[in-house]
Amino acid sequence: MRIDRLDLTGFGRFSGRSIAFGPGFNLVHGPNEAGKSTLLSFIELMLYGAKKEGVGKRIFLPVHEQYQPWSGGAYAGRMLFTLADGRSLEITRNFDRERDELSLIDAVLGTEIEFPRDRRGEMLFARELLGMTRSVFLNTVMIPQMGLAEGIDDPDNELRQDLLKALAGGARDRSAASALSILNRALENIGRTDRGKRDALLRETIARLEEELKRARDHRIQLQMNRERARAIEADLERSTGLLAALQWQMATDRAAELEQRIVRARELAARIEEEAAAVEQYRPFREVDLRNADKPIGLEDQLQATRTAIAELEKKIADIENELRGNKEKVQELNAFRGLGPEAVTEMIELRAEWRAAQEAIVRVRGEVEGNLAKVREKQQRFSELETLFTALGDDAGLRLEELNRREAELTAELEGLTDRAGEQSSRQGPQRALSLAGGVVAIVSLIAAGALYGLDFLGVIEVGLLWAIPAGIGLIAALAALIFRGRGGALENSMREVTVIFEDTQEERKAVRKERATILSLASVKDYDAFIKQRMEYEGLRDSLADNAVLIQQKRLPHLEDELEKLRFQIVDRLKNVGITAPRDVPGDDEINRYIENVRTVQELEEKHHHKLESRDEWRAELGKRQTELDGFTRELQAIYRAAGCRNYADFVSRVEGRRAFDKHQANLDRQRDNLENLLHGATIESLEKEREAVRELIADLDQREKLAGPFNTSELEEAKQRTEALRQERDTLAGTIETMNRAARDPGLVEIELEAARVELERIARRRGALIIALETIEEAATRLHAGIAPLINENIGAYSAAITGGRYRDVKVDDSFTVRVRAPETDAVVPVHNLSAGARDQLFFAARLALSDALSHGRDPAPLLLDDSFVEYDAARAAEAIAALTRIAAGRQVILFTCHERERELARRQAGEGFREIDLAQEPDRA
Amino acid sequence: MLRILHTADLHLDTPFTGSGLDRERVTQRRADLITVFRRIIELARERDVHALLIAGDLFEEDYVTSATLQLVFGLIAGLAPTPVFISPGNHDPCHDGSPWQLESLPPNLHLFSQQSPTTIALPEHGFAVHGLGFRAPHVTGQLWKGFAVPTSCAGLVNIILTHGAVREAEEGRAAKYLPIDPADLNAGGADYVALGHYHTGFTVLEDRFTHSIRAAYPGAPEPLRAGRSGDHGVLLLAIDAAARTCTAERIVTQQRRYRRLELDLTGLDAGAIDAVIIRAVRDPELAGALVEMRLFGRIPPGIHIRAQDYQDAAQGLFSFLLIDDTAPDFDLESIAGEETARGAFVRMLREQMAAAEGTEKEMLEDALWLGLDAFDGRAVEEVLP
Repeated sequence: MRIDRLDLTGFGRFSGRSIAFGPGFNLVHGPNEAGKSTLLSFIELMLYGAKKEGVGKRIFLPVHEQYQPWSGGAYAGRMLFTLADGRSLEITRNFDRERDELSLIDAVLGTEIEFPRDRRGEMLFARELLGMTRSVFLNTVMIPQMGLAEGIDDPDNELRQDLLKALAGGARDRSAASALSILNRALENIGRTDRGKRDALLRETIARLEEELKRARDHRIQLQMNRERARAIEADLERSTGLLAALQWQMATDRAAELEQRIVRARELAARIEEEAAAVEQYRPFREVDLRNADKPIGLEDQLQATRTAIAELEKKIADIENELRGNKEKVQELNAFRGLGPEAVTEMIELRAEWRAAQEAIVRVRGEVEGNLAKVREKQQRFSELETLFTALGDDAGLRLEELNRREAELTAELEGLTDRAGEQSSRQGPQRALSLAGGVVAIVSLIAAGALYGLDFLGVIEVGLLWAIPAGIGLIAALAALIFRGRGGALENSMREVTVIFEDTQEERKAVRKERATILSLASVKDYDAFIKQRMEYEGLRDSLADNAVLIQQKRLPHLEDELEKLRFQIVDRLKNVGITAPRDVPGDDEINRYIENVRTVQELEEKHHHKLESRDEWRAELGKRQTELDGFTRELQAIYRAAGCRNYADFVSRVEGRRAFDKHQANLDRQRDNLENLLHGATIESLEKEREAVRELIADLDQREKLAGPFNTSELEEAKQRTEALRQERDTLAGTIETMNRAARDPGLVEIELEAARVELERIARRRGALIIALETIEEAATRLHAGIAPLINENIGAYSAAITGGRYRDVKVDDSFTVRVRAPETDAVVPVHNLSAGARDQLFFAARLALSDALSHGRDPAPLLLDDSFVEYDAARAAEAIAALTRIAAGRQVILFTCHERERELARRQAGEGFREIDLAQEPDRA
Repeated sequence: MLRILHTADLHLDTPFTGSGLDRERVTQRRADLITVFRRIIELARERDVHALLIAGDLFEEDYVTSATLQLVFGLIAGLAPTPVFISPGNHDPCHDGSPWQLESLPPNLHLFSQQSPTTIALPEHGFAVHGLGFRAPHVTGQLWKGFAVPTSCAGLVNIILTHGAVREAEEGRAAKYLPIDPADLNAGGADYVALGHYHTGFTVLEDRFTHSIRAAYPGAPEPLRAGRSGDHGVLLLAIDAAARTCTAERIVTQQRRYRRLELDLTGLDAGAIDAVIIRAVRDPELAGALVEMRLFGRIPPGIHIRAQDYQDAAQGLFSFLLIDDTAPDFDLESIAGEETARGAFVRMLREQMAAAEGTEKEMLEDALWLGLDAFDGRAVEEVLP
C-alpha cells in the first residue's frame, strides 16, 4: 500500500492542507513544530480512527483531543492511497465527536467500499488491507528515533521488549508483559494461593464464627436443658411446697386442737381449783379433828350393826324353824298310822310286792306252759295213735322188709346193668353181618327178577340182557353167598343174646315186684320213700317215749302251790296296808296303795328326821344368838367409851366430825393436785398466753387454707424433711435461675453470628473467585503471548535476513530470532553467531530496524506492505551511519513506500544525494498544497 | 358471626442471610418482625376475634432466641382467654429438642404438635380447629388426603389449620413441604382452610356462587426479601356459621417496603452513571424502603461502581443493595480479530467460556475483564466488589 495524498481539512495546526507522496522514498522536511508528528498521527487516525479500539463504546483516544483544529472548523481529513493490486481508494473522515464518520470509496469508480466494522462502527479496512492492528502498525512500520539504546545496558532486552510491545496490542505503550505485571501485582495483593494471610484470616474468622454458631446452638440446647430442669424443679418445688403447706397445716391444726384442749382443760382446772378452795374453806373447822381413832367407832359401829343384824337373823331363823317344826308335827300327826314304821317296812313292802308280782307272773307262766304242753301232748297222742295204728298194721318187720326190698332192688338193678352191657356187645357184632347178607340178597333177587323178566325176549335179547346183567347178578350171588356164610358164624352169638334177654326180663319182673311191695308199704305209711318211713318210725318211737314222760303232770301239780304262795303274799300285803288304814279294793292291792304306803312311810320317816335336825339347828341358833348378844353388849360399851373420849354425843356426831376432817383433807389434797395439774398443763404459760398462741395458729391455718396442699396425714419428721427438701429445691432453683440468667446474658444471637459468618464466607468466596480469575487471566495471557511468539518468530526469520542485508549493505545476512525474541547474528568477521548486544550500537539499530520490518511483514500475513513511516529515526546517528541508513531506505523504497519525517538538513541532503528516481521531498515550511 | 385472625410465616429471628443487609439493619429488621407480631396481637384484641390462627413458620428454628420466645409467648398469653392455634411449619418444626420446648407454652396456646390431623373443638365458641404440625423440616406425604371433619364436630364451624404447599401439589411436582391437593381440602368438609407457606398471599378455594373464601394463604405479614409484590398483612375472617360463608378482610401489617430497581447504564460515562444512580436513590418514593438496585449494560472499561460511593445519597433509604451486573464495554469481536497477545487472550478465554457454565464461566468472564483492563494498563481494583 502506498499513500498518495493527505488532505487535512482541519487537523491540529493544519487546515485545508494537502500533501502528496510519491510511491518510493519521500522525505517530509520541516523545522520543529512544523507538524511532522501531526502528520504521522493524521495517517494513523485516517487508517485506524480516533476512537479507542477493543471497547464497545465510542471512546476517543487522548490524541483525538490533541489534534482538534487550531483554527476551528471541521475536524476532518481525507487520504488517498493505492493498493498493490492497483486499486486507488479514498478514505474520508470526520473526527468531530458528534459527527464521527468515515467513508471509503474507490477513487476511480467512486463507489463506496465496505469493510467489516466493529461495535463502535469503525470500519476495519486498515486491519484488513494491511493485516496489522494499530498496535502492530505503530510498533513496526512507524519507526521512532533509533540509537536510544546506546545508554541501555541490555539493548537486546530493549529490542526484545520492543518486539513484545508490538505483539502485545493495546495502547502504544502497553504490552502483555505490563498486563501480566498488573495482574501479578493484584494477585500478590490478595495472595497467590489460598494459604495467604488474608485467606487464613478469613478462614480463621469463619472457623471462629462457626464455632461460635455451634456454641450458640449448643448454648440454646444447654439453656433448653436448664429450663427443663428449672421447670422440673418448679414442679418439684410446687409439690414440695404443697406438701410443706399440708404438713404445716396439719401441724398447725394439731397445735390449734392441742391448744384448744389445753385451754379448755386449764379452764376446767381453774374452775375446780376454785371449787376445791371453797370446799377447803368450808371444812377448815374440822382441820384439827384427830383421826387416829377415827375408824375404830366405825368398825365397832359396823360390828355392832352386824351383830344386831346377825341377832335379828338368828331370831328369825329360830322362829322359822319353830314354825316349821310345828308344821312337821302336824303332818306327822296326820300320818300317825305310819309312825313307828322304819325303813325296813318300806323294803319289806317293796320285796313283798316284788314277790307277789313274781308269783303272779309264775302262775301265769306255768299256766301257759301247762296249757301249751297239754296241747302238744294232745297232738303227739293223736299222732302216736295214728302211727301206732299204722305200725301195728304194718307189723314190726315192715321196716326190715323195706330194707330188704331196697337191697334186693339194688342187686337186681346191678344185674340188669350187667345184662344190658352183654346184650350191647353182641348186638354190635351182629350188625355188619346182617347188613352184608341183606345187601347180597337184595342184589341177587334184583338180578334174578331181571333175568326172569328177560326170559320172555328173543335169544339175541337174552344174550344182550345176559351180557348186560350177568355181572351184577354174579356180584349179587357172591354177596348173598358171603352173607350166608357169615350168617352161619353169627348163630352162636344170637343164642347167647337170647339167654341174657330172658334173665334180664326175669330180673326186671322181680325188681318190679320188689318195688311194688315197697311202694305199698310206703303208701300205707303215707311216706314217699324209705328214709321218710324211717324218720316216721323214729318219730313214733320218740312219741311213745315222750308220752311216757310226767313233766306235764309235774307242772300241773306245781300250779296250786304257786297259787297258794300268791295268796299268801296277797294277804301279807293287804294286811300290812290295812294296818296303816289303806284298803285295797276287792282286797287286791294295787300299785297305788302300795306306793302310798311306801311314800307315807318314807314321809313320816323324813319328817321325823327333819324335825330332829331342825331341833338341833334351833338349839345351835339359840346358842349363837346368846353369843351375839354378848358381843353386842361389849361393842356398845366400847363405843360409848370412845364417844365419850372424843367429846361426841353419839356416833352421828363423831362421824360428822371425822368426815369434816376427811373432807378438809380431801379437798386440800384435791386443791393441791389440781394446782399441780394446772401448772403442768400450762408449763409456765398462762391461759391468756395460750389463747394468744391459739389465735396466731388459727391465722396461720387460715393463711395455709389459701394454698394448694397435698392430702395428709404427715408426721413431724416428714415436715422436717419437706422443709429441707423445699429449701434445697429453692436453692437449686435460684442457682439455676442465676445460671440461666448468666447464660442468657452470655448468649450470642445465632442469627447475628450467621450474618457475620455469611459475610466472611462471601468475602472468602469473592477472594477465591478474584484469585481464580486473576490466575486464569495471567495464565491465559502468558499462554497467548507464548503462542504468538512461537508463531511469529519463524515468520520474522523468513525476512529479517533480507532486511538486515538490505539495511547493512549485506554485512549481516544471517540473523535469527528465537521464540523468546532473542536476536542472534552471524558476525562476518568471525563467522560466529553472537547475541545482538555484542554488536556495536549502530549495528544493533540496523538490526532492530530490520527486525521491525520483518515483524511487520510477518504480522501482515502477506497483505499489502504498509509504507514505512520514520520519525527522525536517525537523528542520533553520526553522519556515516545516517548515510548508511538513508542508503538502506533508498534500497527499501525500491519495494515499498518510505516516508521519512525529519527536521534535519543532513538527512535531507543525504536523501537528495542518495535517493534516485522517485524520490520526493515535501517541505512543510513551504506553501502547502491545497486540497 | 365468628371472627378469626389468620396469619403465617412471621419467620421471627430470621438472620436475613443473602439479603446483603449489615448486622445493624438485620437487627432492626428482626425487631420489625417482633413489631409486626405485636401489631397482630393488638389487631386480635381490637377486633375482638374468637381465635388467632398461625399457619406455621412463626419463627426460624435455627436462630430463634429464648428472649424472642419469651416475648412471643408472653404476648400470646396476654391475649387470653382468646385461644391461639399454631400449626408448626418447615422452619419451626415441632420435634424433640425444638425451640417449642425451650419455653413454657401459655395455656391459651394450642400447638398442633402431631404430624397427623388432630382436632381441638371449642363448642362454647362454636368452632373446631383441625390441624397438624411439621415434625421435621421436610414432609413429603400428602397428610390431608382423605381427611374428613369428624362427625362429632358436625354442628360446629370447622377450620383446618396447616402449613403446606398447594402449588407443587397442583402442578404435580414433588414437594418437600407437605404437598396439599386443594381437592382434598374441598372434600374434607371444612368451612375454611387456613394455610401458610407462601409469602405472597392468595386465595386457594372460593365458592363460585357466593364468593365465600374456602381456603387462603395470608402471605407473610412482613416482607422478608425483595421481589414480594403487593402489600403484606393478615386476613381477618368473618365466618357466618349459619350461612356457612366466609369473607376475608386483608389488613396490612408490614413495617417496611422492598423496592427493586433496574438501571441500564449502557452508553453512559462515569459521570452520567453517578448521576443516574444518585437520582434513582433519591426518589422520595423510596424513602425508608429496602432498595435493591441492579445495574446492567455496557459501561466504559475501568469504571467500578461501588455501593459505598452512594451511601450519602442513599441515607433516606432503610438499606441500599447494589447489584452490579454491568460489563466493561470492550469490543470483544474486534479484539479477538487482533493478531496480538490481547487478541489471542480474548480468543482463548471466549473458547473456554463457550464450554463452561456457572461459576466457572463467571470466573472466566472475570478473568477476561481483568486481563483486558490489564492490557489497557489499568490496575486491578483492590477493593473487592
